[in-house]
Amino acid sequence: MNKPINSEMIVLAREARGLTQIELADRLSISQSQLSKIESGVQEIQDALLGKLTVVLDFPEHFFSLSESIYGPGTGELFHRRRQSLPQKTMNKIHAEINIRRMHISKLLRGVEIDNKFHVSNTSGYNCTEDVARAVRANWQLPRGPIPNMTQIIEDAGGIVIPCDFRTQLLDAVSRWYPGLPPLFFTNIDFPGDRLRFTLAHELGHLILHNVPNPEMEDEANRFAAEFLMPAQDIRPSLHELTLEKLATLKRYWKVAMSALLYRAQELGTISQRQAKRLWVQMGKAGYRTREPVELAIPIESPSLLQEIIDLHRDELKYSVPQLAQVLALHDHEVRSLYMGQKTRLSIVKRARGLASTGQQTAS
Amino acid sequence: MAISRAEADSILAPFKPTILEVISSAYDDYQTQYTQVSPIHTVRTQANILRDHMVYHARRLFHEMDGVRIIEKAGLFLVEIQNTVILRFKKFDDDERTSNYPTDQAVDYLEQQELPWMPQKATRLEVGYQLNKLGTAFRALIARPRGFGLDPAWVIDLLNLAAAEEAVEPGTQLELKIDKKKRVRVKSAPVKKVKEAKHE
Repeated sequence: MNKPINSEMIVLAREARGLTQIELADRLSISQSQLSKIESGVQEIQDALLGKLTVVLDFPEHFFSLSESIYGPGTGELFHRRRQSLPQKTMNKIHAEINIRRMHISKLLRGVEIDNKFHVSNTSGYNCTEDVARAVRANWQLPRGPIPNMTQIIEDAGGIVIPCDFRTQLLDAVSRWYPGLPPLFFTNIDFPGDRLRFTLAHELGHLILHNVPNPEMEDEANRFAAEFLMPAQDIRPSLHELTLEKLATLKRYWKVAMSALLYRAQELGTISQRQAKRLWVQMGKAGYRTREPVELAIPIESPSLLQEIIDLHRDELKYSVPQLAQVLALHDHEVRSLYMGQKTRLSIVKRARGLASTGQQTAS
Repeated sequence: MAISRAEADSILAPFKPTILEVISSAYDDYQTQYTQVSPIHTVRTQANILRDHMVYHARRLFHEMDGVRIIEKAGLFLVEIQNTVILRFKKFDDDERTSNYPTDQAVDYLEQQELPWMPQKATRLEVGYQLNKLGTAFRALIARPRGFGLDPAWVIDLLNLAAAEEAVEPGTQLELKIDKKKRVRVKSAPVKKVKEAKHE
């Protein structure tokens, strides 16, 4: 008798490995038609073929029996132009990996708890996006001025930050807030520290502002991020008489890109359009619009909450690697590479007080 | 008497490391001690701070050095070397000029005119720094001024900008670790452990 298999998990595993149906069928020496029927649940998979599938896709057999919900792309895809240019195969792979990571975190959080400061917020009472950013800063009791570590702010609030190798520069990050879980921020490791900080603030804006997507959501999230990282009241006095040298000084202090500072100065009207244009030209000539000076690089913030959860399982709950592998439906080697610092960097976020999950999904 | 570049080079040779240390110490002070307030500084404030720190380090490093005399008069801080040259510490702009209010004293100083208290034999020079466009590196130079608003007669590089920029360490791309603090707890109700897997 064939084992009960969740056909959706076959699709998820295939996409997580970046394979098309044709490519997988070829490796399994079956027709695409047969694989298609198996993936759609029309045809049962024979035990022998399942065994081959576990080898080809490098997942343990019980992964394919999991009865997990699979979530589709988020609302961020609807209105994000760059994202729409991502190849479908790449997007499928990213979503599959995100789904799998989400399952892992869900399982890991069954045994542990983390503080939560995220709130389901009704932002309709605020006059503007910037007011919401100020309110979040106040609610989280952040002091005036620059945010020294954006990742820590997210983690201290209960979000989980998970650096991922998206293998594309068309996607900065994806944030998800699944029912029953803390907000998850999947960030692309292929960007410099200042951009990652802005991306996290941008994603935070999405989670707080966009219960319902709208065509202006990317612009709103950018405005939220700008106010969150560079509060107008604090930064405005510094954004006068700007030069490249002044932008460099401000970058070191505020830990945001020179370009973000220049945009901010334009938004706040502290420099004329002519001055702004002149600076953009200078930035372009110096190559800073493509890559800002290396000597001004902002350190990449490394999250740690997910590692704390893993460590707690290892140290206090006494889980061995094989036991973790069984819980997470992975092979031992992948547990080691994903969660024990042998390959990619992974981390967690905390949840916020009083925030019920809303199933929000955004990407930037 | 106005000395040539070669003569100045020879006279100052034993003192160049000290002059460079004066300038670089002041620059380093600004980079490390003013990070919290530098965003609100104007270019003028930054220049004033750097000048004060150059004076401080000059006092410290030239103190009781053979052949050196420190002169402080009429708001000027000068270092006379071998009774031959007088150094004044300044910031240089992109054209290798220093900026000065055109007071009679300032104009006379730059034009090497007679000043009542100034040793007349010594040639007046200006030493200092020229920042790159981002302020992330500096060139150290010695120049002989010709007059107010004029290019210097000659310039000696103590540290050229290319070398200075090359010496600047890239901003760290290393990960910024978060301080360890316990944010995760075991839930009070014990979770059921999975059976030890056999395959390790």
